[in-house]
Amino acid sequence: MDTFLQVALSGVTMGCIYAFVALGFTLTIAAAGVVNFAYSEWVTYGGFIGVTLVSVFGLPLWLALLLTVLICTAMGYLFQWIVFTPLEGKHFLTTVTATIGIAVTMQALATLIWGPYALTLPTFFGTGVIDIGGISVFPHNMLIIAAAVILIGGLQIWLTGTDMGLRLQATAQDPTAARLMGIRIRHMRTFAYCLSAALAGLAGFLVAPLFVVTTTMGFGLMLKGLAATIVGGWGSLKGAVFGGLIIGIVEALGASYVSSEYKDGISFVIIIAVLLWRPRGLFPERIAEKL
Amino acid sequence: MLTIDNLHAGYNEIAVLHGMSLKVEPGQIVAVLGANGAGKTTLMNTLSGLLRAMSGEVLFEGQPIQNMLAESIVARGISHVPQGRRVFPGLTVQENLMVARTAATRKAPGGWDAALAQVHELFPRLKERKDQLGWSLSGGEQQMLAVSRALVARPKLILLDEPSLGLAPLIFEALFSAILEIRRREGTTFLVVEQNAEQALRVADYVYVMELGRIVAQGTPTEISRDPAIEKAYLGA
Repeated sequence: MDTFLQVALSGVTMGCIYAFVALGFTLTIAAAGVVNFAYSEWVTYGGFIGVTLVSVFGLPLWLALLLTVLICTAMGYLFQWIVFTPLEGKHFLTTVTATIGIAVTMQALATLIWGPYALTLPTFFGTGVIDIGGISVFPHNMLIIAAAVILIGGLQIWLTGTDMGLRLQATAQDPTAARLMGIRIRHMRTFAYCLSAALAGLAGFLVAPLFVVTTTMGFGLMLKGLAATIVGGWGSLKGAVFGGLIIGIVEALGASYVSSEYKDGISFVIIIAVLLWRPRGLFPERIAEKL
Repeated sequence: MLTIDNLHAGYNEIAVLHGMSLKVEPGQIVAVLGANGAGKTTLMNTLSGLLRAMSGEVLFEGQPIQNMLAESIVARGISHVPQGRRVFPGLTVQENLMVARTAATRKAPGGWDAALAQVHELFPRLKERKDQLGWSLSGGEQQMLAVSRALVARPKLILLDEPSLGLAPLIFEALFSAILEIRRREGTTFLVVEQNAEQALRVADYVYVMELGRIVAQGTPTEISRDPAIEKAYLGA
């Protein structure tokens, strides 16, 4: 039982990270119809910017986290302006090709700036573990879970309980109708891009102490994030969160009880199973229009 | 109130409207009749700013609006109820109404509460269904919601694009009596494009007939319904 809880805890931690990645990736799909395959690099840059702020500029971790999220938000703003606005309304494949191109460029640029070697980021609470009822808990995991609960809960309350949140949902569901309601969809989309980038920065920073920061860090997370969006339901924010958690937990259990060799394969088995059983994911978006 | 003069508009440089001209006086219900492909929806989309006019002029209360964004046109007091309703499928009835709020909603006497009360009084159905999601409504309920969404913005002019589409005749009649009621109470002006000539002729004060992007006939409903050519084309006699 203890092993199970131990494994489940680390699964939930990774699940939260996957949920962040999937959520950020899904946000731009939902709000602007743009599939951003450069999202993996946004996450990587989150990690690298964090490391730079801490080890080069010697900033305290909390400040570095805040600045990383801000810098990534600014990056999202810049990207929407230069890259995504021109891509809106274009064919799906155009967007995919363009963003993969950006991902490759950004990855190469990361190698140029930060070099090919893995860097590390310290955690907020040192490397010690606390013992809670026989389970050893790494405090950083608790921080990730707490951040996920607060942010995802906050996002949910914001989306359903505020004027701006409802307008973002309206923009996602029918941009033309949203314009007829006087909603400035350009502002809504800009906001979605910035929020998406902020989540990437946060995910990159928070995951860094668990592993090491490399130029391919984001890519690995993105594969799982993508799996999460497919399992959860393409374009569904709720699906992204639950998909992320499911992938994280099943992957951890599989690694522990089956074999850690098959860790990555397990996420893809889940995708295949979900696609066979519910082709539109667990939380399919309502896109059907009634006449 | 609304004057359209020699309007040309269309999609990707292919003109659909070839010099449309028409006039809507305050408080009127004006109907534009036309078959499929006549350019009715193009006209509506150009008026509400979803499409850019290629040339010509659209004056609303004396001000040219043909180059304004849809968002600014709503703020000026024109609400467009689009074809196919376009209710937000994943928002509840209440939320659909909430996202339609504008500065004019707040400024009107009683603000949002008054707007909501008015909508609920006109369409008690929407009050019963207020927590239901948009996609789960029937066609008639969706049309009620779409009209209500327009009302929430406290418009001076409402553009209705084929409100009868896909509705049972009884529901459509109820909708039109609601429109007459709105005009009686608020003095709202309506521009309605329709294929269903019979219904439109019954409520309109003035009627235009459109063919291939041009106005080919106009007159009062009585005049129009007496015109043998129109009777043949639109009333199926």
